[in-house]
Amino acid sequence: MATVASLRDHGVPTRDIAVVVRDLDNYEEPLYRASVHYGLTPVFWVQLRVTQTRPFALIESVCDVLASDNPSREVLCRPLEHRWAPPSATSSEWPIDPKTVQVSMQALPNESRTLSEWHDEFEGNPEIDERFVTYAEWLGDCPDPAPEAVTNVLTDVVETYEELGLPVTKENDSPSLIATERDARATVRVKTLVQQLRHKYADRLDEGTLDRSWSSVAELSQLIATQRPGRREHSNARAIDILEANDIWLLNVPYVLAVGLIDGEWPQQTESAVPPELQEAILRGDGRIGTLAPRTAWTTGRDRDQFDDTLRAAGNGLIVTRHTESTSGEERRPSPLLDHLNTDLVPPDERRQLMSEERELPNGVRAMLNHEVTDSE
Amino acid sequence: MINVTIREERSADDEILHLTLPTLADSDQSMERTLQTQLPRNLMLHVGHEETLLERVRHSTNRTELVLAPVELHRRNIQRRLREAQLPKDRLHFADPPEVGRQLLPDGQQSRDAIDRIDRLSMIQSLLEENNGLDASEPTIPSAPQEIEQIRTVVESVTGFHPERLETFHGTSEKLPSPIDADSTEILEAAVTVERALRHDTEKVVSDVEFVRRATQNLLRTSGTCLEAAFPDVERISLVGVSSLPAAHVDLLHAILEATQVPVHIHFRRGTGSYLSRRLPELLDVTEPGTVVFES
Amino acid sequence: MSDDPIRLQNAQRDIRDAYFDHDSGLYTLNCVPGAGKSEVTDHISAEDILRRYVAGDPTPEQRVAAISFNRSEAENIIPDICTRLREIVEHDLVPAASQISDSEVEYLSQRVRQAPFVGTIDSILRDVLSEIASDIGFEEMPVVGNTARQKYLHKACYRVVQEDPDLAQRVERLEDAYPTGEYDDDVSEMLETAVTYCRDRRISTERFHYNLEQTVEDVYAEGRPGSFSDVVAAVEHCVGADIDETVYEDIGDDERNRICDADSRLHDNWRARIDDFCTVLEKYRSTYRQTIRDRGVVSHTDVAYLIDAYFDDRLGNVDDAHRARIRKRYQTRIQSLIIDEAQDVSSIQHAALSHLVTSSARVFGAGDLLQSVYLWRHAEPTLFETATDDGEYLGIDWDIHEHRTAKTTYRCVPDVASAINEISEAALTDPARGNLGVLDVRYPGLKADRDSTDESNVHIAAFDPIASDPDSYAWVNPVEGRGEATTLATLLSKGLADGTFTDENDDPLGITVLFRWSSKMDVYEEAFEELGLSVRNASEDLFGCSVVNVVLDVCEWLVAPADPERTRTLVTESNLGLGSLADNFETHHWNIDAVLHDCDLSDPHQHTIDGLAELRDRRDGFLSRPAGTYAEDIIETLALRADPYGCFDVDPAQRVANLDALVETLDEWEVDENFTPHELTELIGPFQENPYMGPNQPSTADMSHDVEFRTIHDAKGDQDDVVAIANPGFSLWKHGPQAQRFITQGNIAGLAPPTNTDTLSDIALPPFVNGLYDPEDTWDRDVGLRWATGHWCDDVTESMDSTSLVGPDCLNRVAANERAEAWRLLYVSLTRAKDHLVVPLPRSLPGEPRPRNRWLDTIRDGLNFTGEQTGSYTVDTETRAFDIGVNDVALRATWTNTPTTHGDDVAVNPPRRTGLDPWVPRFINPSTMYPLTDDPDGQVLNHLLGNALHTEANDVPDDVPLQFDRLGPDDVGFCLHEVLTTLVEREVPEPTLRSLGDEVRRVFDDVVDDHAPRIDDDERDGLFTFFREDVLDDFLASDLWNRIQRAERVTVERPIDGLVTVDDVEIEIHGTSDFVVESPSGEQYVADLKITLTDQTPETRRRYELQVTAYSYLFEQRESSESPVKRTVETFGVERDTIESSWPSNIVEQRLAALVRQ
Repeated sequence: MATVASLRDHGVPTRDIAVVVRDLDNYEEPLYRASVHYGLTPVFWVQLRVTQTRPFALIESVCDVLASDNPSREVLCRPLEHRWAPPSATSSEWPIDPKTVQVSMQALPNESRTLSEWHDEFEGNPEIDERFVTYAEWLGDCPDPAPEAVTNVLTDVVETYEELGLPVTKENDSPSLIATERDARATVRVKTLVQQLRHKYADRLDEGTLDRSWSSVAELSQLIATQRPGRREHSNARAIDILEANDIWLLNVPYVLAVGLIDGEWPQQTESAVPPELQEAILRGDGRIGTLAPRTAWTTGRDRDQFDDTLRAAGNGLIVTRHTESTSGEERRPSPLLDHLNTDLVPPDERRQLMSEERELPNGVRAMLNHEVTDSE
Repeated sequence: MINVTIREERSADDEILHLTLPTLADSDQSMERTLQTQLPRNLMLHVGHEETLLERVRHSTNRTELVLAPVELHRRNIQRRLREAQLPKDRLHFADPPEVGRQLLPDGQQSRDAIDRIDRLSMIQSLLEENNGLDASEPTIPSAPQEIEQIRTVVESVTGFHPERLETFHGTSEKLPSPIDADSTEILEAAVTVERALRHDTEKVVSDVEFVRRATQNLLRTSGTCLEAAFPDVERISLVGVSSLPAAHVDLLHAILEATQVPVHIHFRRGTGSYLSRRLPELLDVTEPGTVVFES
Repeated sequence: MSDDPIRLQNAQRDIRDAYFDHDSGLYTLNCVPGAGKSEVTDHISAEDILRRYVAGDPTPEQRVAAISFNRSEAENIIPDICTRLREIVEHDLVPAASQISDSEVEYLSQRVRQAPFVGTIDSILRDVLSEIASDIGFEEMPVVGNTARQKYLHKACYRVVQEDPDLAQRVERLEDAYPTGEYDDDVSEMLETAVTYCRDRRISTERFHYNLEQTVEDVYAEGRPGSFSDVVAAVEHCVGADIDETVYEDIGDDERNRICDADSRLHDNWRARIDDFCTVLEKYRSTYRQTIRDRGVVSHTDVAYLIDAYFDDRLGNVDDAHRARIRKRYQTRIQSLIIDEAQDVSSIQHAALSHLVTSSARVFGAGDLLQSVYLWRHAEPTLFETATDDGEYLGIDWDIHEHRTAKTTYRCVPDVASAINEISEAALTDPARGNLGVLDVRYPGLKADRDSTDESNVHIAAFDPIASDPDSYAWVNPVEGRGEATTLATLLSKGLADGTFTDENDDPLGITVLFRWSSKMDVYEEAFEELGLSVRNASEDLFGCSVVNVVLDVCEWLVAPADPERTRTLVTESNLGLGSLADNFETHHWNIDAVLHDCDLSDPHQHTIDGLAELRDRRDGFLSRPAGTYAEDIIETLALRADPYGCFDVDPAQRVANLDALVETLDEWEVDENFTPHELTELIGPFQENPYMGPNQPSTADMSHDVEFRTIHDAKGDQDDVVAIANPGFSLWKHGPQAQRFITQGNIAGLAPPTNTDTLSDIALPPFVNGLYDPEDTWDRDVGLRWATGHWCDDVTESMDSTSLVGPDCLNRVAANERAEAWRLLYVSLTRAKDHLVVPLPRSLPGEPRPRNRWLDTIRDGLNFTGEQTGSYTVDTETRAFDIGVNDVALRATWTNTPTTHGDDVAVNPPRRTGLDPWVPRFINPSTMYPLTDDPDGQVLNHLLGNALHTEANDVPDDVPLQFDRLGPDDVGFCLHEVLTTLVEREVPEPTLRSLGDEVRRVFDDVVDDHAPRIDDDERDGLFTFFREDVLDDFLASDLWNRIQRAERVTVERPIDGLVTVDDVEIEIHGTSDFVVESPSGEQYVADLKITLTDQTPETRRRYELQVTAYSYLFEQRESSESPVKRTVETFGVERDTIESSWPSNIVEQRLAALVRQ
């Protein structure tokens, strides 16, 4: 990301840069942190991990409380930590700020109790914020988990979050609204999820594959949430695009940075249930076997397609990076895809210079900028 | 470590490795021409050269091109390129194969829903519990629904559950050394069993791919009029950005080529393109594309 | 590719020929270090695959298994096989090479990359486990070899036995007998070891009990003592000779009886504890068996154990057909098995592997018994010994068995080889040193293939030590004067400067300094750095690092940040730098907000406490995200990488690297689960307590370091140009079995006697310094009569054999094997050298030489170093003479290689989160451009949520006859809009529209049903009436409709987009115009449709005007834009209007520019 920051320093527009990774699963987090470090807002063109967002945690924690006969202090208070607010709430009182929730939690006995016992505790214990009572009453009023009722309860919860919780995120966020955007996406996604949940939950109750309980609801939401749906458009014009290689097809971006060209990582083959001997026969397609559709996922073909796309998307220059060793000091070999590419290695001194406080573009990258100038002459 | 390559040297261009066992044809310049003679007249294959797609937009009239882009973001990328080239984007109509498939169905079927993967997994789980024809105790058959679904998907992709292809699959499996032969046939049987059971157990359509297959059949049945009806303005169909060709997609294109006069272009990518082009003529060599072994 | 490929020679070639002469059989190669073992295994693997391919096997990579032990080596096998394959074909090295084209080689290399059975033995067994996991009770493939998860799991198992009422007393007794100590295994650790041991040896708890009893019986060979003379007899038994009983004269009768009683008590208690232990173990094992399945966590040993047990039908309840199939699958596939470092295979790995191979396969094993140094990790070198000697391996007595020994080394120069031979032959074949153990040692002798050089290749860094223990800090790096480390560093640094350790281009050679333990590395590092050498050292504990622990401490605090106790711990015990505020905190009841509010804080304190408060406020995010992620949050919030206030005494680069490594470690440990701070704290506890169990700190030195520090075990299998042996003066008996509570080696298992029996430890029982038994004193050579010792028999009784250790037989065997292995380890370390071997040696030794007990003396002997030589001297051997240089470097030379250090930005500047540029919309819709640009801050959330952006509007007038039950105003607008566009799109003729034909109602109903399926009939009818009266009639009367009627072509909902670039920010405009009408004359007319339920305000009007303008702007951008287009917004409903815009289209750019530049 230091390179990206330097390119930006040299006046390269945001949309003239793209960072490409074969699989963002393991790269999203480090690239995110690195971007922020260098003062860049990143956008990852991947599906949102809904399960790791607050709106999802909120509805899940509500299900957990309702599923439990004797919730512990932690389970009980989690929805409040995730900014639960009653459906009719106003923004001046709700959600309860984290400090208050934690202080009240600390004042509660560290044990499991029934909801009505907790309700009494909230009422009787002067150290507990009085809004806890509202919460306990709301819990007490929650209906049995019939599909329609579940949807209504959870829709209320997430809509109230949209109304009251999300503005808190924006309030605490940096001007780039990274967290807000993510939280907003998650809110929209969770709303859809709750609607899907209604049908799927009803179907499963009919089939008899799930029992009618809040824990089934939680389980099913998890399941639906892990099926990550399509990507949504990202909305910050100042954010640097970080894409998976499959998605760069046909683009034409002057500066492309391909990250993670390590042997074993890119290309990488997916496991298949089909025995390799059979795969090979189908891939060869001798005789009538030729009518069987070969799966190129059985080879590294897809990865090579994607690498080629990456290469060709780069208008002025391609910068490829990789680790040379793991944290534990084991050597990492370069991807065999690089065998077929003439590249200039950035010398260690220049690399250090790039990473240093003074940050300077390596000569090779600088040459790309000049190259562009020559082109236009 | 950072390496840098500057655009100028288009060094890697033609060196992306061979995908499978290389044949003489790969080094033969005339391959494309030879290949083209084996293909239906209306089918054009491209390896790379996606720019021709943009060129066509530039020169097209009011008619539109139906672009089948299975990867969602690829559509956005085409649109971005069009925008960069200041070309109108309404000359291209984007869809993925299942969407097109659905629109080619007879009226009564268009609104039918397909179940999704989560539903399938849950149904497979029930099948396993009931031990309903699906025997996880067979040595090769996994007991996790995810893995069974994976087997179903693979076999679907390779054969489209087309009777001829299933038979070929079976024949190929049997010739492998023991016990791989048995492993392979069990996989095949499990996939067919699961698909059959799913069809039996749900009112809905078992998967999106089924729309493609049914559309294929409907195209042939209606001699192509369903295409005309659903996409009256379409003068060309392109399949773009693909690294792989599942049987169902091949069959859909097959049916379009057989039942209509609409030209079809396939834009392969360059890592897999020459290989897939080479395989295409044989892939089209099935009778009654879109047929499945299951009683409907 | 090199022009000169490696060609196999001598034994290498012989064994390869033998291998390919047959279709099956066992082929073994005993190799001295540097004999090209890997070259042979790579060649055989590559040629094997090639031959199979040429013979028509399309998937030859499935048939060949190639395994090694070292992970980094294993990772190289595939690339190395590919390289060799290319070499073989390019240089036509074997007959099959000519039958394959270059492109086929490329293709074959690709296949090799998919080879399923190439890697470490663990990775191959993991593959097998994945096939059988669900058969043996795992829900899915378990996590393998994740130390943290395993620790956690053992902790859970221990809790189960602790809480089992039937076992409570036993556990308690055991805990009393074996209390937790800094260096001692506690009961839970012993149970953990016992499980591994039993699994490794495939023995039942009963059998294990028996083994423990055997050890007791061996220790009490004369039985339970009945009198003091029985005790004396035991002493004599241990010493192996009669004792001069006068040494016990001082012990009075009373004491003699007490000793006897104490000894009997010890005996009884010991056996009782063993009984306790095994009873507890039984339950522990069954718990463990279940828990690994429940949690899906297993160790590598478990994997091998489970595979063996599965195929051996010891697990029960397993489907026979399935098992037979899987076995057959592996046996069919693995036609060739190539094992490198075969001496390191453990007994359970061997057992597991033997199920996968039949006698129709070819097995090639290469190894070196003299490099067997993994006894402590349950390596079983005797398996390879039996293979080479008897042709028995993997449970098969091979009909065809060929064995060769490769003595030629291609690694080191002749002088180094001679020096190694001089040191090692004596040491390894000596029955008191390398030949003390069970392995039958034959020293082959290194024959160097390389040419001699003119310079010395063996160097002694000679120094005058101060009188101290050669393993002490005073010896290694005394405060004053030149210790071992300084002298070695001087020799190396001056040698780099004067060209001794550079190549022909004057480039520095690679230098590795090898250590037995990592314990002295820090002192060495200090000394080396003083002499200008940059050191790469990756052997420090990650969890020993203060800044890493701060992250974990904060995690622990976040379990309950409002808990004053936790805050107290954080403030007073963590390295967070808040210690000096303890009083302030105390006064403010450990409330961070109060401290923040009331106290006058220094900048660093303010920064830290602000950070804590922020983390506290974001705690809920920690509950749903991975630990690696929230650890990053902590690091970022507290700016730990940059450490702007210098709170940590850790080198900046190291600080950054360690924090990176922490995050990575947490990610690895978590796999797919998310640990809450509470769970994380539990998981990480054992590692914080014992940092050595965790990962090492990553090295921050890059390629430019001068010297690398490694432990010998870590360097095994590797080599370097210059190798130095550090700290050779430690005593071999240190950490020996006498210091261990729990011994498991081969067939021998021993649990030390309980520590809580009164053993009269004040009474000495010569020659034992610690009487009967005093386990406190683990620094001595014995802990008393009743456990192992590190004494030599002839040290305690003059006449005795100099090759025996004092102690009971079975424990002696353990000690002897460990000793023997230590000598092999020296051999391993010496043989890493290619060009130069360097050892620091004292000119004089305090006390007697102790070649049996220290490497130092043995090396000194081997090199004939008397302490008097200077400059260079020659050692004559039977075969050849070689030179040794003593401090043979230019005294005046100085080495400076301090690379210009650029502090990495991350180590200096905190993350720039607050400095991120403000958000600017990337996508804008013409219809919402006005509100969004007018009030970006107020509208951003709705924009992000995809909600409608409302403009200030009038209330819906009361006379609008709509109910708004199910459908709100927005829904009404949406539906009616949709109905109208659909009607136009379907080209419903005007008469049908006017007469409200069926089709109109059908379209209306479809749209409403789609949008609000549960709407009731009244509301629906009301809406339809409104549509008819307030929308449709006006529409049909409009100019727009008129145009549509006359149009050449009408497009409905046509996407139109474009791009606005402001500075270098690109904003995409994506719109859909409701109607694009082309008249026969070619004129275009674009109209947008609004259904209004209220009267317009100036705001809504501006909004529509901007929308119209935006469309103009977009049309103008089009390349194909011809004549100007007429554009309007048409409102229907409560108000009927046609809005045109007089605004210039660049107002679009201006408004967006304002947004960007705000």
